[in-house]
Amino acid sequence: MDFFFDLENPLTSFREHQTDTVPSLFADESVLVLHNFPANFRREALTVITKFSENLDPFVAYLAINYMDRFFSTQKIVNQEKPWIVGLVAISCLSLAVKMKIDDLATPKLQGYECSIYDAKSISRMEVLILSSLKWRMRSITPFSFLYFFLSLFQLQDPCLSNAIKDRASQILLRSPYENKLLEFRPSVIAASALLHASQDLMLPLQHSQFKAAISSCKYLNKESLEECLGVIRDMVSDTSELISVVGNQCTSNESENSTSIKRRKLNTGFSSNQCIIRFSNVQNR
Amino acid sequence: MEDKYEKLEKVGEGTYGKVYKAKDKQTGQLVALKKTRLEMDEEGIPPTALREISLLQMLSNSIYIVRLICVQHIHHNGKPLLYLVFEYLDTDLKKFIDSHRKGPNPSPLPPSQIQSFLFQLCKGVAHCHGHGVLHRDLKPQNLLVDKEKGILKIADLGLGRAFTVPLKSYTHEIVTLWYRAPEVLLGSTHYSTGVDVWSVGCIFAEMARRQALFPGDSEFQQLLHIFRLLGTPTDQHWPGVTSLRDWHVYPRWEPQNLARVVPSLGPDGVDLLSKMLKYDPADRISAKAAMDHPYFDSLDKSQF
Repeated sequence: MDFFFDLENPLTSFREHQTDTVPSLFADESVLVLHNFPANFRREALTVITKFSENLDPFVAYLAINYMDRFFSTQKIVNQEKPWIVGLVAISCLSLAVKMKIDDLATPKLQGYECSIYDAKSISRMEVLILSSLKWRMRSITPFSFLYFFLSLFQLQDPCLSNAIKDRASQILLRSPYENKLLEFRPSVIAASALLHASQDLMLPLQHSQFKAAISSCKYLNKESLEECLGVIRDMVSDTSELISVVGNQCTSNESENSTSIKRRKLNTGFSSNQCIIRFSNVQNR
Repeated sequence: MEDKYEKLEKVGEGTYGKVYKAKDKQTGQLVALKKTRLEMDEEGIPPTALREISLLQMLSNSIYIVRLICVQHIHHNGKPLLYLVFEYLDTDLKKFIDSHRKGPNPSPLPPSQIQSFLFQLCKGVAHCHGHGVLHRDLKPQNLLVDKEKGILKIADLGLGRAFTVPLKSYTHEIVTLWYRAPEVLLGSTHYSTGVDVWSVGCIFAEMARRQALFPGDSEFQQLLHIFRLLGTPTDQHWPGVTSLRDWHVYPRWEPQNLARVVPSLGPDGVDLLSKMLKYDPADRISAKAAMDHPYFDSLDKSQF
């Protein structure tokens, strides 16, 4: 028995989809309340996660962001005097996501990324704090969990088309955490909207409206917010500057320091005494 | 840890260490504390523990699974250790059956009680299987009972990599073989959900008989017990059985009448039992299908 964890299929350790878990998915999904996680802190944390997960499976970064948002939604106001906490939380969430998601049990170590202010001990302690705040519910229900179900509502004859839609939708979902406006929608609504947007160019208009009707017929789905969410996704996808600005943040904060002090080492290099310093204060004062 | 809970007494030796009954000092709630052997190292929480405990956490939201209340980490002699905190139930099915056999006024378990416990057991097992998790060590000691409410819950889940100690437990206690499926005894490595259903069958029979159905004391003896009752399996009834790793030549016994060993069960009960004890795991009834068996027709399922 392995403890395989697939974002698309969080409630089982099967590699196949199980139809009987669908009602639990809808019952357990939730919208996070991030009032206590100021947008500028969140943006900074996203930068940290993006930076340190460059060579990893993009789903790992996605999962790490989910843990981070869930963690902050359980916290009181983020201590503005300790901005480094946000970075520590981000790194610790990434470390947890790697452990959950990377199949190879010889987990790539994040140690190479450890910084003088984020030593192994602090990360380890923060991991424990995050785990207890999340009550060890690490098999998160995210929009990915609903893709298979929504696709199955519409009998697509062509498996290639179905895969193409899912791939495009997945690409949209991987970008979704960077769009603040999407934070207020339920994961199922985001999934349905991503699929509808992804399929628009891949289907004939008639087929697409049938697909939309099939998805909208789902009794668990909140139809009112579907249109609204679809609009946000449309804007997000057409606005390519969003992605650039995320990447851009990393480079603008402090060019020389980034290139010299933050040495990204290859995974599995083990512990090294080379230190790197992330100056969150620099980023914060921008 | 020591601050939050007061250890009251040792209540058992789990497969992976001691289990204590303890009291939450603040709320007075009784809990079962299980120390795991999972140590945190400088890399933080080990991936296996993370995956296993989060799976356990997900499964424990069924009322037929013992609830994992929280996970505590404490420093013990400088080493960080993980404790699992479970809800506490005062008895288990083994003690419950024993009380009907040896108590001051021994009496059979009421048939409706057997039916209700078996249904809850099937429901819990189906829940695990539905989430892709095998229990692999179902036995009466692992089934906790709330006598007042008549509820049965599955405990000791999570015998995965981080916890597995297949034959000898951590505490060198002999792990019982009585509920072990023949494919496991014969060394099959590709076993599946059928191993749990076999155990459920053995437990079903034990509730009806008030004694174990196959009380073997070695793997060989265990197989002989099974073969003597159900007949020595052949490739005809169970394709591939003679090619299994630990297959030997056994005396050739004919199948006996199953009803004779569980005289208190009616024909529906015997039929369900025979479906749970099919040799070929592919022929064995699933826990989910078992819940729809006519044996449960007289049960008010709406209460579960």
